[in-house]
Amino acid sequence: MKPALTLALVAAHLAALAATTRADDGAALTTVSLEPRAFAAHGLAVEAERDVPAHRLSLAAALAVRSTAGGDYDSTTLGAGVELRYWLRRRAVWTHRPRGAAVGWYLAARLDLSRTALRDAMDTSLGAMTTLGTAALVGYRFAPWRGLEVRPYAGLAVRTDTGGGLPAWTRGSLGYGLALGWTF
Amino acid sequence: MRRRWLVLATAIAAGGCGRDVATRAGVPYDDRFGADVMDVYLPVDGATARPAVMFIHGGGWSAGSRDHHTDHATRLAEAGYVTATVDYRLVPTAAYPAQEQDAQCALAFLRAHATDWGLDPARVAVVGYSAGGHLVSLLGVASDEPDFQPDCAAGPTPPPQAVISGAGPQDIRIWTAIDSVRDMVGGSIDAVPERWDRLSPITHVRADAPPFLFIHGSSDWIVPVAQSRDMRDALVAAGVDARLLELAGDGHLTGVGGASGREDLGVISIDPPEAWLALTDFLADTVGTP
Repeated sequence: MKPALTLALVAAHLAALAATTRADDGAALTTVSLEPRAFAAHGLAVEAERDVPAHRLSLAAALAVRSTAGGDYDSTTLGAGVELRYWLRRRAVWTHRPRGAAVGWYLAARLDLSRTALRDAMDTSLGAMTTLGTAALVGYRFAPWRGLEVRPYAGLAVRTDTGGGLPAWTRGSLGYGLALGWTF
Repeated sequence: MRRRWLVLATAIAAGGCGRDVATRAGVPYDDRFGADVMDVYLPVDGATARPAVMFIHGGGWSAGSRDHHTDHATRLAEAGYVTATVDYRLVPTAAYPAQEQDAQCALAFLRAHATDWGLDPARVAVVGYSAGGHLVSLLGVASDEPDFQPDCAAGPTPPPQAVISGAGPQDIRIWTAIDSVRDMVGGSIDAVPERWDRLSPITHVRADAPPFLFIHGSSDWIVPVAQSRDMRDALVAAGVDARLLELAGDGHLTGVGGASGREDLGVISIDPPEAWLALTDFLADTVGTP
């Protein structure tokens, strides 16, 4: 769990940084969020997002770690991602935020890079694979209470695996998720 | 470090860096039934006596097609394995024991064409997912069961040298109330209890079974992961090399996305990098590398 602890410390640091960065008009600009679904995969996915209101954009950077393999195996996946979001109207239902905040519908393009290493029960390395993921997403951010954000999203994703002694392999899928976070 | 990124970028841009593959599509392995066809993927490298991998699809024994495994078969063929994807007779058109007889017939047919397709008939692994995982498990432990003997031209065949069962039912007796399972068995458990036993791989566990690899999502609510755990434990107790890769958070048809925590629909448990790494290691240990 050392990688997870490291990631938690990074997240706390990001949150502390975010708390010190606000726009001149006092509008919150930074959101730090978690993906609860990642816990089911024995992982932790943390994201920090910076709003750029002048361009109706925001940019998010994500870090993730998970140890999904069990039974007679063990694995570690480390990943990083970036996501560019275009906010359509910056208005949302059930939301209490100043006008112009990054809420409501958005469209996004995402890029992820991760590396997965597998070990057997004897802790012998069985190799590693690198995965490059891209996704086109649509989402909606609610802010129902203070800085809390609830952000469901869905979209099309394409992933390419390389390594492990196999040729590269690309596949598509329909993805969905839910992020919970806090805006500072 | 720069070189590693360059290799990765080049591989991704090229969409792969494996061997060329020739495809024989729709090869009938039993002329009596129109459904009984396979696609064969042959590495174009002139090698002979290569290890082979045969894929059997899922779909509750009543749906699906060999196309489900086209990508998997192509990837392994590009790595140098001779691969095949198999269709079989589906419920309700055909019931017990047609599905397992077809699986055995397909395996026999593949081996019978070893010279034509450059494979070693003594180095054949089978991979199945869901219902396909059930059929390949039976190939591993019940190939001499009289009811399952194929009467096709290729004839009976010994068990495969390795079995990879993804989310496969190993004890179908827990689904006595499910119509599609009853249809596959051809009767209720009260009417034909011996068939329910016979179609449950866990009742056939034996010391001379080939090595097994089970791949299963821990959040699979269609085929509970306990099916693979129990079968692995029974095989190990019998002295068989049996391994389980359990994937936390994966469902029957969903997987947890790589670096984002997103859930991806249409991703099955044999798709993630963890599964490919376990699968290639298992193939190397059992049927060898090309």
